[in-house]
Amino acid sequence: MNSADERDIRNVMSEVTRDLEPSPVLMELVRRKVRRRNRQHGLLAAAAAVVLLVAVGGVLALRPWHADNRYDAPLAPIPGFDQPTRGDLAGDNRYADDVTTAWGAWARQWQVAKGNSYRVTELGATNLTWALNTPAGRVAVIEQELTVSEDHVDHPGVAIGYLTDIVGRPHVVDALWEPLDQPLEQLPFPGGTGGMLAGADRSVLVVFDPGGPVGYSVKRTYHPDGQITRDDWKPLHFTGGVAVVRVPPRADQGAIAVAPRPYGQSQPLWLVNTADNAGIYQVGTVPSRDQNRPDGRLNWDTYHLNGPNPGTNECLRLPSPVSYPTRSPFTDPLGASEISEGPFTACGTTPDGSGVTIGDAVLPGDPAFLWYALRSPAGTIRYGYVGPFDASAPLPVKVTLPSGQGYVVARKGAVLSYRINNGPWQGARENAALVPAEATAVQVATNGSSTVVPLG
Amino acid sequence: MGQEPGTGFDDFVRGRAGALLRSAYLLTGDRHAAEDLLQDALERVYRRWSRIATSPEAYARRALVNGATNRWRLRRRRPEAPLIDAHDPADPDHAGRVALRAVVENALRELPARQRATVVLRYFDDLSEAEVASLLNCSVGTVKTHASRGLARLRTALGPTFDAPVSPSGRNS
Repeated sequence: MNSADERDIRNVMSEVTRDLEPSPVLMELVRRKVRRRNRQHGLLAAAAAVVLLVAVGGVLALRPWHADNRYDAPLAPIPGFDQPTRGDLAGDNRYADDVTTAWGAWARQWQVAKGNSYRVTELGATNLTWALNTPAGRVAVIEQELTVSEDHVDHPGVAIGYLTDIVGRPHVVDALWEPLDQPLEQLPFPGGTGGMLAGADRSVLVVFDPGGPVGYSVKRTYHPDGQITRDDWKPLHFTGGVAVVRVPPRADQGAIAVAPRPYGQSQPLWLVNTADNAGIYQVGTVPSRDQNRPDGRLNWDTYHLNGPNPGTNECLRLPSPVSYPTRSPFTDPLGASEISEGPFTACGTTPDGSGVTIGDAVLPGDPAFLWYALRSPAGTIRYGYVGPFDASAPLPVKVTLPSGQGYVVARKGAVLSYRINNGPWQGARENAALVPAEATAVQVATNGSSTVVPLG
Repeated sequence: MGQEPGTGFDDFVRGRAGALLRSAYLLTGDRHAAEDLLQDALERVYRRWSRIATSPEAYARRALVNGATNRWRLRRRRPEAPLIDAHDPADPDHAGRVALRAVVENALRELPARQRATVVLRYFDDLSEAEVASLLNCSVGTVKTHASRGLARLRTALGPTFDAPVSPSGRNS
């Protein structure tokens, strides 16, 4: 190896990271994480033996916690590993065999996978923790002892697999493994799986009894000012250690939340099988969100509403749902709250001198929606939730700004002009435009044809 | 948690978050995983600020490396996804950079975690061998071995990239 190689590697790494910048609200995200962690401490301190381990047969909740979130106990056998299977299919040996076979094929991938930080060197005994019928088919939770090697040091652990019926056969829809000799601080969700969705259509919610009152919500409520609440909480009733309820069947169930009561006092339970991943999980090296699934956002660019294009830099200086400096609106307090903004953003200045930004965004499980933000000349920021849009409409973006500041209209590739009553078409602008409140119609011209869309 | 970190932490994040994110990206090979990793690392920095305020960057880098190499959860392989950048659509270098990034991501993923960490810390973050050894809790000799093997594997994987220009800026040409 010579210095030229080193220089090349440096150059390549610099080149591919050149335009990566952290989120403008990184600080807020970190503080939110701290607050979440603090709440989690409180929950764990109050009910350490309660929360999560019922879901996995009591694997981790019996472990002592310290106030600073360290787990510090001698290695112990997996608690509850030898307990009998729970659920109404507990005596169904054929189903147990099918689950064990499906799980075994899955788990063995760990031993042959390339590129992992850790290598599973040994898979031990299995224990079928849960096996039950639901209206959407059977579900099972299975555990397996394993040994993981890192740098020739073996770590004992437990794997947990979640299976549901797809086309009549048990299918692994999520899996994880937990070390039994490492600080749990390392885990993103320490033992935190509280339930799963059953069936290929995810139409049934299965929650394992965490030992306290728990409820669920299936939808978010978006308020005009951008705040999001959940107003449809229903209590869960556990029978035999599990609650099974029907939920609206959807391809993506990211909108479902399960949380301890009283709601908002402690962290929601982690659910598995909430997105369309069944069948594509493999052991790999890329822990990431499901980034490729279409979510309805507009694949547009950044436009200026009344200045020169592209307005990227100017838009970045204006507020957006993820750049709000103190508290982000559009945040789901008790569910999957990670908002994804679209590449589409438009910004400009309204007649009263306010900065305006509009764009689209999406929360898991819900349709993409349009939002706007207005920053007054005095610096006050006001958000607005506009709602879902029809991307195939002649004019997908038609936003009425408050206080008579006009309309924002947009369609990628179109020339947009407006008129007042029967006056002439004016203000022609490509892609996006801010039109006055007096305008009564917008003309959308694309490829030689045009459509008139009324305003108001 | 002890005393609130105050403005020192804010200044640290403002000044160093970009560099840490880029390191995190190279450690994980994934933009979103890098952001998550950075947030986790900064959360740890935040909580321990009173103890580490004199050298937060070293602690943050250690947290990044530990977070990247100690991922106990099952890794889920998803379809390869393009990075979502705040880029200028008219940037003529962008397509070349996206292509190069895909090649580099794949090459880095093929490296064992500690080898990858060594390459990133040594050749991207420009840390000394002793500093890398300290961060990875291993000997300088081990760092040399990891660096040498990692570079060799990257050199092989990226060979065609080195042999051809990758962007109109002329780098590597």
